[in-house]
Amino acid sequence: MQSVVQRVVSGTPGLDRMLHGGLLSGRMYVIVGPPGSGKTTLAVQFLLEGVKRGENVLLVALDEPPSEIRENLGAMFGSNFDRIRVLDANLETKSYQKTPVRDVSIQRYSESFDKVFPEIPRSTDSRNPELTASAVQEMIKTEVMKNKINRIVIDSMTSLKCFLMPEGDQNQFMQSFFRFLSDLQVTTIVTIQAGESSTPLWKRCCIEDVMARGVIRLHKWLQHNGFKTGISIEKFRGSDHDTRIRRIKLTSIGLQILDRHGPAKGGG
Amino acid sequence: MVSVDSLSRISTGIEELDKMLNGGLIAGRCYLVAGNSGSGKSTLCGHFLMEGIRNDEEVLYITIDEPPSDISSNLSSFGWDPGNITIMNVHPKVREYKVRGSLIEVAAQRSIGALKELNERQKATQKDSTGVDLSFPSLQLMLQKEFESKSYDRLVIDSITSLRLLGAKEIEWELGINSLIRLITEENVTGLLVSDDPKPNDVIGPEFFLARGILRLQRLIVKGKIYRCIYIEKLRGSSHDIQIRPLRITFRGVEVDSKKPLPSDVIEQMRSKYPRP
Repeated sequence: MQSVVQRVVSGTPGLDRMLHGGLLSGRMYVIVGPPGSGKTTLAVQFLLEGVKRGENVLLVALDEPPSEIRENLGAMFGSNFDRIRVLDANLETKSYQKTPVRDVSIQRYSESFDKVFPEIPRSTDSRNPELTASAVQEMIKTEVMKNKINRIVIDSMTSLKCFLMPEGDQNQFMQSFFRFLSDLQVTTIVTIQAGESSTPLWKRCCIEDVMARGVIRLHKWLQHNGFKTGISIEKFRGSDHDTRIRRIKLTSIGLQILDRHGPAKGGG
Repeated sequence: MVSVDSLSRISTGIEELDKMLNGGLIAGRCYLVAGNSGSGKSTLCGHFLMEGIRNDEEVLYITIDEPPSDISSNLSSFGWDPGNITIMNVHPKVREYKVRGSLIEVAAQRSIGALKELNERQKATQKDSTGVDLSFPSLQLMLQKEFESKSYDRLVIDSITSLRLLGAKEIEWELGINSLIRLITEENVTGLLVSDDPKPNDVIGPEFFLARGILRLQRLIVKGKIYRCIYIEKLRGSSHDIQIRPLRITFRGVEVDSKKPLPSDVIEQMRSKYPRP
């Protein structure tokens, strides 16, 4: 139970209790789950908790443009949401034209959500040099130094791996990327897309799970004729944790963890 | 057109499905319609396109699996007049397919033109491109040209599983589908991408995490009888129905029945796909 490392409140009531006080500061965690299980919402709640505490927080967006993320979650989370900084690491429309190889890699900077233009930026050839995992790594480093970032979310690591890492060397790249995140000493959550639920768990295990200091797994299953979602702590280095699967519910005010007595109280 | 500040919804053309989606699809985004063969994917897309026609919208049907004539007769069989649907026929082997009916066919000539253009450019780097001449770059180029000439509201790609077979390497497919979805989103077009079920034990493809929503359809055989069902697997930015609903294909197209529950045998079979952890 007791740990010398400082705890970081996760921002989801009930989850901190499952974590026996919160995540350990400066470490890297994974949220893995099937489509539509609430990975992004859970990760954004972690950032919002930081905003509430006056911290600087960064969302690295790879699955959808910041304009859509704001459209989806802005109304739900109000003005605190606008203070999250977002780094747009989405690939643009490919030009399919051979561009001369340049040593200078692309540089993008984050902005807070209240500055995000409501429309998706148009792809242009000039704005469209190759974006790579190494470039994203450099950008995150710059952000952390420039903006004194306390919490980072990468949504999703699956996109980063799929689109920005060279085929064949992906595991090696993942390893060095995770090492880079650990060295940053910023509490980080990365989201990972899980395969079909019917795939046995032992087959779904991947290098991301192995390297993370903790794995939070979201579950989806069919009960009667409706889908239920749940959450469990699969691994949590350096701390005790809840070993049961708890039901979760996505509501208009965010993701909540339920227990036998209804919605859990406290935590944030 | 579509306002981006609040969530603007558009109808799928199926009232019960709109209800399941809490008011319809969020406009200007790409969705996946995934299911096994015969589950009703293309018919569902037909409703979506015809709804657009009813609202005087511009709709585009990109067909890879079936020649335009088949699509035309399929849609007509449900009592619809598909005359105003623009068809882009991108099957490499049937580019010069003769169409009957009143379909506006942009594909044949345009695709040939675009493909020529592309071949010029690729000659320098790719010498062995003699096989299938349709690729992600050529499809995207065709689509970009089409968007330049007309502003579309809805589009269907039937199916991206066939598109996948075009990409020689996995990475081409991943980057290709990413680029295609980005293009459609930038054009503010609401798109339905038809896909087969992911293979069991397979790593989940980029189309599943890039899609802003996933509609899953399933055709099952239980005790010698065919059943169909539909459910919403994900819908970003919106709450949605979490139940599996029975779906029927009748002479009027797809019908979703939200009142009658599926037989327990059918649910049982579905449950093996989503086991309790």
